[in-house]
Amino acid sequence: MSNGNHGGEAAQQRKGLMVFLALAVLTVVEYIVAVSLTSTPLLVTLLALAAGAKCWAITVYFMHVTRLWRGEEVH
Amino acid sequence: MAAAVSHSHEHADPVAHAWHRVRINRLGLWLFLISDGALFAIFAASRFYIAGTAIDPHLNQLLGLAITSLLLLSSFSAYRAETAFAHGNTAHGRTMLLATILMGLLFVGGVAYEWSIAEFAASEVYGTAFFSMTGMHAFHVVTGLLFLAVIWARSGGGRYSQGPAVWPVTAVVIYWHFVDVVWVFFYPTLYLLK
Repeated sequence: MSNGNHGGEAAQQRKGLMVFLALAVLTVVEYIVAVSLTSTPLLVTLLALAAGAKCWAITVYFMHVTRLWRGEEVH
Repeated sequence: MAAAVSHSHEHADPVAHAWHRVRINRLGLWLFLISDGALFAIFAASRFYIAGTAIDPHLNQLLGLAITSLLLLSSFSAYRAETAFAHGNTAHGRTMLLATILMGLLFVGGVAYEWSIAEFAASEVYGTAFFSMTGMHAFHVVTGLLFLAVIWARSGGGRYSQGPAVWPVTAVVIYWHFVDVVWVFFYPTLYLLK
């Protein structure tokens, strides 16, 4: 295996770590917001925004949804 | 005519043909996930229809946060597994698959424990929503675990090493992420609302 391949893997793993950390932060924010807020409409709005952001990050970075319309696989 | 020429070229080049098959399989998987996602959306909509935004005050919030974190972490290890396989690093990929399976098992155990200590019945309004949503989701987690176990058992000897050969790993990992995406919406829906 070439060094370039190792470098590519390391870069991808770093990207995955960044996405995971963002997801973890959003989850903690969700929890804190839920135990702090008393206004249900505001809570529902904030939780929906957080869930939407998490869904987008997982779909794009972990599930590689863009490969559906990309002509070639790139790892 | 152009399409026919392109198609014959893909057959002449086995690698291009294999990538073509991967593209078709990927589209099929996503169509399945969209239809499965609609089922989960209906479950979530039913929850709001029958119970509004109310949750049971006896829910174990820390347990909910713990199993949510576990599933999130398992998604990360699944990503690491797929990336490792895609770069020919089979040994690391297999280790990460095993870690994903372990965390998935712990998640199912957490849900089972939550069911065992729940202070509401399935016949109550919130209980109906809670047990049906977590039950359907846990069923998907268990099927995902079975898929992961099969891939792990078959991944020795470099079978899924690099290029289009990695697709079986990718497909199972995408399914696992889908299970995580569903929980991303179910967690606040079941635990965090007021």
